[in-house]
Amino acid sequence: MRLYLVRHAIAEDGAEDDLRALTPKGRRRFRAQVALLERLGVTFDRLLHSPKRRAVQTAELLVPLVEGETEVTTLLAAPPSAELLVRCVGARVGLVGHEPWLSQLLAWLIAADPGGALVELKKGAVAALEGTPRPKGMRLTWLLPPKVGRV
Amino acid sequence: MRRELTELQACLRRRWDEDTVHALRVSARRLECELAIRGVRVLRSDLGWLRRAFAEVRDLDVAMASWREPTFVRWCAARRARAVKALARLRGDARVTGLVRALGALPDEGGAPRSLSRWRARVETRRDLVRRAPSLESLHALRRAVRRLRYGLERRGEEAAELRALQSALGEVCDLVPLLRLLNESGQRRVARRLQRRVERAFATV
Repeated sequence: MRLYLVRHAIAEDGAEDDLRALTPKGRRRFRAQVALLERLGVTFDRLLHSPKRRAVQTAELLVPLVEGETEVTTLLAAPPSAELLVRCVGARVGLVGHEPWLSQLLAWLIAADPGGALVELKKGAVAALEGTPRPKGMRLTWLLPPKVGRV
Repeated sequence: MRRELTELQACLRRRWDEDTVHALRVSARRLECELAIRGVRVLRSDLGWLRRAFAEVRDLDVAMASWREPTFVRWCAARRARAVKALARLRGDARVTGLVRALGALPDEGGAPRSLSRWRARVETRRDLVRRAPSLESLHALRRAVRRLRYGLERRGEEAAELRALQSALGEVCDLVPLLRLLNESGQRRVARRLQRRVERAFATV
């Protein structure tokens, strides 16, 4: 399977973390990122996302690439867990979440090291993995930093 | 939207009796309608999933209220108890808690509300289909379109008494679909066949 880890786009600062919304700049830049993903032929059978407002809004921008369902889960607003991996069912699954958990998930999936941070995901970055969603069961195929979408 | 979300949260916490299950499904539908009006596409599949999870229990409640024959009611009640037990996994489920949390994190008002003209047009299309080819399926499609438009109008504070009455009348007919299915599944096939023939005769005279 292909698993795409997507960090939410640039969001405003705010007192209440769940309510932080994307900034106009964040939206603009992430739209460019989505256009690039579209050109690369990326689509999702399922798109899982965190319930925080900035992740919901990022998932909304990804909807044109979703061929199946979107699914909200608190498992993406928490450290990576085995329960999250169980929910990664499908051939092309997208996960929209937050740091440091996405980097930890990536390290867990490619090196079985949940505490590691092999790759830092900038806001709006996308990492593509291939394999089976279990510790050390996947390999990183490409990483799309947000700057690439702007070129 | 806050009111519907509060209602949904309360229903998720309460014991899932007939009224609570109905209220839960109604609040989920109203929230779906609200998101559609705002042009939000995410979270709608989660609300639909939650609503469908309770569909079997709701069908059984409606069937028990429509056909009060003791053997059938006992069969339905046992099946309902099993269905509710299976739904217990939803309490504390990451998708359910995520849905409530995400809806609570949405802005109170979002974007310019979409026009309801498409929903009005859909009601007319479905009504034409019922006129041309009356069937339980076409009536059910009309019922869904009417309900959506009604919720949309009520959300804008407009009166929708006529649609409410139509939805209620359509509901009485459409509820025959799960009743027929459950009668067949419970082994009461003779009653189901009789009811089916009555429905067919009614449609033939439309």
